[in-house]
Amino acid sequence: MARTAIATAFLRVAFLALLTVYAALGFTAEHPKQAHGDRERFEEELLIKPLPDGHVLLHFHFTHWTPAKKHHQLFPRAADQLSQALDFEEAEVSFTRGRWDNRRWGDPAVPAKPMGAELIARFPSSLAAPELPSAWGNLTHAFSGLLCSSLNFLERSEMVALPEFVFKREAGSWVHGLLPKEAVCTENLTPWLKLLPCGDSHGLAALMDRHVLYSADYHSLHTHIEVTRGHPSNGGNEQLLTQTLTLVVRGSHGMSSLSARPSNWSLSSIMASPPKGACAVASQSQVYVQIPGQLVDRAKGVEEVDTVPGGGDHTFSAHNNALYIVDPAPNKTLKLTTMGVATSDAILVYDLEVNSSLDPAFSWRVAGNGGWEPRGVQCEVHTYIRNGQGESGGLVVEVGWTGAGSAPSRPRGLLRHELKKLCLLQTVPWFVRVWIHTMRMLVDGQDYPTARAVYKHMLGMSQDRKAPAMLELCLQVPATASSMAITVDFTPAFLSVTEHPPDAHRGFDIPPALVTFPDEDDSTGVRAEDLKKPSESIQVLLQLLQHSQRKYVYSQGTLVSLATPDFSMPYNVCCLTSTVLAIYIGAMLKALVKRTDADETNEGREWRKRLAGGVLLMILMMCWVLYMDPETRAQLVQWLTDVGILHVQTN
Amino acid sequence: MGLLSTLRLSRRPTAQQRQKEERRYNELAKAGKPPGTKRLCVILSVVLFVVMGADVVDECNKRNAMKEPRCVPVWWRTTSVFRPTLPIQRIESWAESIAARPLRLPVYLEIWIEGVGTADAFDSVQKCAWDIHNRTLEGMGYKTITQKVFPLGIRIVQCGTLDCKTVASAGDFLPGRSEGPCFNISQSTCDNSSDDALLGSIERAGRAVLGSYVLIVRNGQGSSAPKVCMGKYRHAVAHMVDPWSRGALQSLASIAVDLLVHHWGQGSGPNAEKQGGQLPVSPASQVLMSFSLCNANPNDGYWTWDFDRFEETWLRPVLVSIEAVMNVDVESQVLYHTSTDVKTKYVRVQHAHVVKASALPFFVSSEWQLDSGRTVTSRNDRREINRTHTAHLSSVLSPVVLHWVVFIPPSNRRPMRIVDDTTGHASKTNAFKIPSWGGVLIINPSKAVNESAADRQLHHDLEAVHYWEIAAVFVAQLRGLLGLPETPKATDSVQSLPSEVRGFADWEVDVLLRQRAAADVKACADTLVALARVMQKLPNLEMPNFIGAQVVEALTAGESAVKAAAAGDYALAVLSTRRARRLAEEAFTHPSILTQLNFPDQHKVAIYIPLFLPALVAVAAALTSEVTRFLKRRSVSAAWRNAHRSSAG
Repeated sequence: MARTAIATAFLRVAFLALLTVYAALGFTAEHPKQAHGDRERFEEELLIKPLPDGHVLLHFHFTHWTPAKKHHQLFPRAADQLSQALDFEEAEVSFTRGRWDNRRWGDPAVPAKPMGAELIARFPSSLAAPELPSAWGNLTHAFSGLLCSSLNFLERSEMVALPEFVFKREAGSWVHGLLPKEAVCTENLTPWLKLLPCGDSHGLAALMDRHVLYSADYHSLHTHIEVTRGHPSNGGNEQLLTQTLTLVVRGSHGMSSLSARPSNWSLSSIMASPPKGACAVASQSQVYVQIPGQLVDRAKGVEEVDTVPGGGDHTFSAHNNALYIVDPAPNKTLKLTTMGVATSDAILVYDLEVNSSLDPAFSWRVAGNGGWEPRGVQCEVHTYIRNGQGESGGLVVEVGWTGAGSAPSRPRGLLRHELKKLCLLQTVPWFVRVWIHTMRMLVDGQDYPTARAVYKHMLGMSQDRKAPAMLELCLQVPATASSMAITVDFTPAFLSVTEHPPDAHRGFDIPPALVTFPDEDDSTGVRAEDLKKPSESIQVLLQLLQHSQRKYVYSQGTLVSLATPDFSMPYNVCCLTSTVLAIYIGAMLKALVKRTDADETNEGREWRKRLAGGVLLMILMMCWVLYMDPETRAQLVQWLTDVGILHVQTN
Repeated sequence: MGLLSTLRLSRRPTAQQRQKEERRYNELAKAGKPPGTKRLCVILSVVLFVVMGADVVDECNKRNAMKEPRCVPVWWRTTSVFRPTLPIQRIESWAESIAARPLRLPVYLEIWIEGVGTADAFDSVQKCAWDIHNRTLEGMGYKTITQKVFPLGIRIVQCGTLDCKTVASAGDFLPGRSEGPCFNISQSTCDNSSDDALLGSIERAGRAVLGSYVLIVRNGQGSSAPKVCMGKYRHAVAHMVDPWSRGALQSLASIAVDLLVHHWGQGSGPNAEKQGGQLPVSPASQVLMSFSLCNANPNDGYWTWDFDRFEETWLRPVLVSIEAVMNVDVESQVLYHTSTDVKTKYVRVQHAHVVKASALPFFVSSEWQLDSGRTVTSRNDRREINRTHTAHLSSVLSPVVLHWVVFIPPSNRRPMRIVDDTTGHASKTNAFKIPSWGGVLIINPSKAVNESAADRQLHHDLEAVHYWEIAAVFVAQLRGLLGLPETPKATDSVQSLPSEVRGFADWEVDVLLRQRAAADVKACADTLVALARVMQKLPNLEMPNFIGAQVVEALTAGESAVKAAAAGDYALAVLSTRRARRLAEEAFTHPSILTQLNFPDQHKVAIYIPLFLPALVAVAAALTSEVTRFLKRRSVSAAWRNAHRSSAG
């Protein structure tokens, strides 16, 4: 930016006066007041939820919504330009560090994401199949530019899967790509924050202390754009941009999470600073503290024991009871109902606009956390390699159900016939050649017929350097099963020298497996239509909590090591080939030029002999070349075919 | 059997064999038998093949014919970097011709004088025409007054009550432009409505053409120093008493020279390339205007705008009027929490928080997200380019971004005013411009009066008065950035009418067009020459075939632009210059030639030495032994023959 010469613009009064005349033409009495429903909206919300092991879940949720128009007042221009330039309907990118620990933290309140970067996109069904790779390529480049990441590596078709039914919520072509190695850092956060109207200077985002963010046990940065394509003449699209940041941090710093004593915490103790007030342009600035149902139930139990029977006027308070206290008192307390069913979870709602220096603090009133354990069925998925070192190995995807509630309180006899369903998506890079015919299934360690379990499948065959193998299976297993595994054998392929990454000895990533449960999400989650109701401000996050969300469980990724070549090989090959050729030339020359005694005496016969020797040498060399070089071979075949000697049947 | 014989052949001959062979050889030589040439031919053919064995391969590669000589070894051909042949000679000669005679679009001035002049007036009229011509060229800064430098045509027309006829002309008027029907001169006052009315009659006369200007001289009441009324089109009206008199013609000449040098004829001087090069326009004539409304502190109230409406009412007319010069895209955003680092001081006299003009370079903070996020260029377009070199490739060249920032200070620093350091006067517009970047305007809106304090209403809309303030400053700053005076300039003899919402007069657009055409041709020539030099200097630079085709296309467009300019065809000339520059620039900046193949010499040595060194040693050894043997034997046998012959004789 050249700012060397700055000139102030002094307009002549006459010119201004003249413009005044036209000003009257442009904006007469009517004031440009839009209908309220056309206003763009921005909402910021924060969910705080204590976890059983003393950790605290923090979930920042920012929602931008804009109607179809060309110029925006709140909606970030970068996101708008992205959706204008590229033809996609939905794109979701997440950067995650750490792994959601189901055993310690229970089911995630919001879908947990796999380590590294993940990009999921939905393109319109109208998009022709040949155009999909370039549309996806453009999207990966746009996102890697927008969020300073290396998502552009996902452009190559060998990196992505085109699942058919795992994501099938809405019609369209889904593309799913994973980068397990992606390092997540502040360089991703900074551009992400720039999408917020208040940045990180005001509002809830001002809480985001970098040290806390990147020392969290789990950190997931998530951006989701949903575009409803309007008519091109409108000059814009209706868009919903959701930005979330999920953190799992220790309740209080300096205390070991292993200590039995659960921690008391407050927002300022977790995030190093209290909020600086709401973002002025946000239509909602809410903080929710979700008290898990078990804790509420337990608190009720404690109070019932304590209170004298007959003291009827006492009412239970979800924020201040015998077990714990949340200070200050919330503006509102809600009972969470999920899919119309009331749960005992309590949500304490705080409005940041009313109380700008809000600092909710949670403290226990009893020693210990009263035996609070994660409850419910926890599902865990693991991917690992058997025998990874040799010429062949096995890939195992294991799904395990743990937790006290894994067997619902029903008569055992009935369970034998009940089945639970799950869909599994595993992408395997092309250089790990899986043999589908070796696929076996184990339920509780016992062989289980695959044909009986699989009720829907989609197997994408790998193509060398073009497409990965994709296993997309929908399975049904007995409801009593506590573990299930699928194994498939593979043979690692050889890569050429240039295909190896700089750290070839690290091994090659096998992306994590993804498991979904089609049974449990009959109802769709919150859709954009629900959020687009004009004029009223919607607490999007609350709505999301109240709807069942589709449950995604990812395994951790795994590494497979391939044969690593000696990278100085090309020069060795050069030297060897050259030496052989040089010897050949030398021998040839000698054969042609060399004189012997016999030559002079018995010229005719010796000459013929020598010629025969030379020809033989030449033929040998030719055979060697043809054996070594497939290109020459192909050329020769082509040549012979052209001449008419050889008839190759092409089919 | 064959293999065994080969092995035997390769065995070293024993000393006994060698002796035997030597004896036999001497016997033969002494017997006067001439040496056999068989082995010599074999080894020479091998050498010949190594040195120039490429001709067979060359026939296959004919369609990719390269500039290198044809007699090179096979390996050199197969390992050399591919690049198309550029017409380097043609580029250089064209660039030289452009440097010698820069492209100038012609300017024509017609002076219509009311009334009929006397016979002796015609002589002075002719003199007057040449006077105008020469003085104009002088005024523009041309040292040698020749028509060759800059085509300027002056014509003086006598406009009687019934007919019109040309009475004098100077410079070169093109044949098609010499005659035309007369029109009714009816303008009397200097205002917009009569200006518009006159345009109608000039259009009917077929004179409303790019680069052609009309000065109408009316016979009527006027002062001794007549004032010319110059409108927003391509004509002006002057009132003179007895315009055919010698004195009147003299003052007419100076008026015409003033008009041409300072107004209509601008952009034709010797430094037109420089002026045109400074225009903030990308080679593909794309400009992106990025408007940002910056709320310094939204916590105590913030303003938004209805930009669609603003664009429709205010920007569209301006942008339409300069469409010929640049294609403008508009984008807008509203920013929040954009505080400035510049310190302000409350000055009671001004009733304002004052920003010194010297502090303005630090006004815009890098924290503001003003950068246009246009990083999303569809990359399939680029792939398309690789495949076919179609004409529409604007995505390769990024547009020039001009930023227009409207700044609303925080409420505790309102009103904020810009004050000149030395004079202490407040800026009337409260705005400043940054060359080739854009402009900044500070507005100080106040909250609506009827708003009660209890109502926590933070959001406000800008009012009509703010919109026109923004528009006025925008037009002025844009004019400034384009090198025009911020408000229409008036000189002693010329009174100009402002161009209202359009912001730019027709003749001003002509000026910009002339500057751009000159600059574009120059830039095109420079770029092509640079590309040719790069080709010559970097032998490892790979270049796809279509770049060569693009260069030829650019060159052709540039040549046709020069031709069109000579023929006075503004539209074609402007189109061709722009195309030439865009193509040249695209060829130069195309991503496919940005990657230089890096094969260091060490690599080449490492690759080729293992083959060539041992192979050449064998060849050279065989060659030397055969040649020396041949020569030796020949001399021996020749000696024998000589001896024999002499003995015989």
